[in-house]
Amino acid sequence: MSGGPADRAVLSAANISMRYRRGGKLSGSEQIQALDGMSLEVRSGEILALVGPSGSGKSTLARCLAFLERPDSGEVGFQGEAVPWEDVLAMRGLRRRVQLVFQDPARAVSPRFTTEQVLREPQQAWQQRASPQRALDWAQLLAEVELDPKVLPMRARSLSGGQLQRLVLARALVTEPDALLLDETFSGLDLSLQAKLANLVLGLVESRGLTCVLITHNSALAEQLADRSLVLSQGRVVDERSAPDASTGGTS
Amino acid sequence: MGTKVARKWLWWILAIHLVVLAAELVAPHDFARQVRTLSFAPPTPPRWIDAEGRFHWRPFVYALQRDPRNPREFIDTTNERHPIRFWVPSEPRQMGPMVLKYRLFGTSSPTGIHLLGTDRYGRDMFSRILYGARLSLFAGALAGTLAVVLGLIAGTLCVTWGGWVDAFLMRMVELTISLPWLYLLIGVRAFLPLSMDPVPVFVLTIALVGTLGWAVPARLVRGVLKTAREQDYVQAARGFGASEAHLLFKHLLPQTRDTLLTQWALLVPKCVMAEVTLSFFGLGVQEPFPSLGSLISVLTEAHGAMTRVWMFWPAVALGLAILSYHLLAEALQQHRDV
Amino acid sequence: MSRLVGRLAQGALLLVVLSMLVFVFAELAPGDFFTGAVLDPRMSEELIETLRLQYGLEQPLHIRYLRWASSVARGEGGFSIAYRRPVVDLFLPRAAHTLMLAGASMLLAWIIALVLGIAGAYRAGGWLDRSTLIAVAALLAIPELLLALLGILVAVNTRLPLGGATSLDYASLSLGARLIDRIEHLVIPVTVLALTSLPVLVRHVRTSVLEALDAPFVRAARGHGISGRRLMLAYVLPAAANPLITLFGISFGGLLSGSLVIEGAMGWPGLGPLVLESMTNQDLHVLLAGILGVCAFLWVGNLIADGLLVLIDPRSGD
Repeated sequence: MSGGPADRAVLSAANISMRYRRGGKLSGSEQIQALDGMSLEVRSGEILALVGPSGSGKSTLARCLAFLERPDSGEVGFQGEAVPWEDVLAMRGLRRRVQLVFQDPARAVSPRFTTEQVLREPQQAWQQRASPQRALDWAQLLAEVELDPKVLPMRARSLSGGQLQRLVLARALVTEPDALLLDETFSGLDLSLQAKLANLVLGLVESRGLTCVLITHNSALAEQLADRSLVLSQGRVVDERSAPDASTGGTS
Repeated sequence: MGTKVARKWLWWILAIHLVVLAAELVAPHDFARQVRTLSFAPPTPPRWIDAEGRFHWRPFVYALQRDPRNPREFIDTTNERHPIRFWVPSEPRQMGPMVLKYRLFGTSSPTGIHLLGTDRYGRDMFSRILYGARLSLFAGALAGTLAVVLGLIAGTLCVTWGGWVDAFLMRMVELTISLPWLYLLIGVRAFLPLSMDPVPVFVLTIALVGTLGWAVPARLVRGVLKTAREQDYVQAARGFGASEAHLLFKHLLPQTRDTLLTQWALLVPKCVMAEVTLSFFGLGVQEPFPSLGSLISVLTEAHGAMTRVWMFWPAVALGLAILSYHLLAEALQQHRDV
Repeated sequence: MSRLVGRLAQGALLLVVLSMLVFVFAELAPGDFFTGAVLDPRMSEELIETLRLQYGLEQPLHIRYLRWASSVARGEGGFSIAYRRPVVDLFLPRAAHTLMLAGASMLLAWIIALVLGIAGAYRAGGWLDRSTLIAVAALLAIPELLLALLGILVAVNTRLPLGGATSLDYASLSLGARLIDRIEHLVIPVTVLALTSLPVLVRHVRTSVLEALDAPFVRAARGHGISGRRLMLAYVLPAAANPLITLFGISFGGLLSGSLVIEGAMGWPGLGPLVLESMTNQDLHVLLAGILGVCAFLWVGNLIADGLLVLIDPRSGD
């Protein structure tokens, strides 16, 4: 953990905790401790896997790291600075720097949108005169995720599982983020598709110089793809493993 | 299947509203026109076969006269036929921005046609029902719309503001729902002037009824928005730095559409009944302006209206209108469940 | 116990706030009791002014409120200018009639709803269940006012009396005849009011029993061969009771609204007509008594429902 410029922390969490209330009025306020004093750092350019069984707080952590949810206590940091939760405008800008890719791509696109509308949304949602955007390069973007341009006028939900996953990845790239958070993105796919997508993501990480956080319950997959794995259980980090070759040259 | 049925009922309801909206054109008489000799006259049905048994292609009516042997009853004056004509010229009168010089149908002679009989003052019931239904149905439809819009605003405020605004509004919802709506309505009506011109009364009734109806739609909208907010694609949009406005208009509010439509269909009959009930108790528009409520209240007065079957037509018309709305709501609910 | 005291205090506070609101709103409304009297040729302007002074209508708002409050504290409940006597004398018999009507129809509606709902749910999809559901849907589409009209129609065409709670010669009747007379007067209003609240009740009873029948422990009991009446009484009904009691509290408001329509349409001498009348002649204290009285009924109904819930399920007490 030497603090050289190459492995500066892109994302960090310092002692964050999060509780949820669940259940009806009669059963009382049953509280679930999703995160319990979790701390971690994601270094620039690495592929970090967060491995844990369901209920270990993975998804909550992902939403906190994507700045979508504020933890009850503790700090979430971006590039070494604590995230200013109160500053709404700054937060909107920050969220664009980290993109969360959800587990089920079908639920991650609006049932009313066509593929083209889905891809346009990241730009439409960000209408700030202060920072105008480059026009979207459709051909390049679609080529990057290997998606056929014919799907553009189709309703997004009617695409196949693999196409949807590529679409969601492409959408995440529109904001040109620094980091990608993949929340169980490869689970629920058959093995060949899983391998194809994993290769695609690895290629994107390589070509765009992305930092990538892989959230999964599948430790074999984590071992295969990640430079470093953190094992989560009951809202805490309980173990850390480095891939054998990661120490020599994981970063580009 | 549900949408098809719902669309059918929606067209039907629209048709009713169009007919009553054009009451000036469709009604053969003015709602306040009295014929003193025709108090509680029975309906004059269109006929094709005259008293001598001859068939006529053009339907006609017989004028009524008092039965000389029993002055309480009426008999047909069979010596003269009054053919029913369409597009009969009449005295010019205002309908909205237009000046009408015709009526949709009627007889050319002044004796006139009374499809559903006349009331105690010799006013044409069919025409009064049309005018009255216009007031009651439009008051209901507009009040229902107002209630749904208020509910939408309140529900949206609950979700976007959260915190104490949410808690306060939900508390108000509970209170509004648990109070007896009719007492509430009458209680508020109590503090407004009793007799007013029909237009202020119409506006006031809509405002009152609509304001009291906000609670259920507000709660439902809040629920829909809360679940919608948690959906992955909404969270994804937040991840693109979307503003609250973008989330609201692009993702959240479109999801309330079905709920709002169903709520509207459920609320409108209630609002129609609220107006009818107010007029029934004499708290709505005042004579001679008719409302379905005041037309029905005649039945409970001791002037013998109860024994004249045709005096029940306003109640039948009201029942049919309410039933139509219920069938629409039913169809919409089925559509949503599928 | 402290919870009960808390609820009582809360309710009393609510009534006080409500009465203040009514006073303020009444102040905003144009005119007072004597506004209509100006048109009466027998009343001179001087007379009206004297009467206004006599009834204290010229006093500032807070004085009038305090006078009303002290009158309530004395147990008079204010003074009706129209009837020239304390409001209690008017209010109590009217309230008793409303309670009689509402109570009897609630009882009737619940008995029918429980029988139809439980029987329907027990053989869900059977002929009884299906015909009940159809009847309920039809009934739901008929507004209260039209049901009341049907009731009047029935009364006109049968021997049953209508209007008022007793016959004119009530005082001269024997005890047995008095009872019959009262019941005869109740039949139609109670039936109509019960019919208006029936659809919602039947649907709720049916759903809660269906849900209870589907609960794991009931299915287990069925698996052990417990069935029929024993299953219903020992397992299903206790499980279905909770939502039904909550509904009992909520249904009170709707019943009171329906009661107002029916009282007004059928001439039942309850609170409804009194409120309507006091409203048209701006007899403020009577109107206040009516509004506060109805709110108090409602609140007591909710309190009873809460109490029953605690009795059945002590966990919900705290």
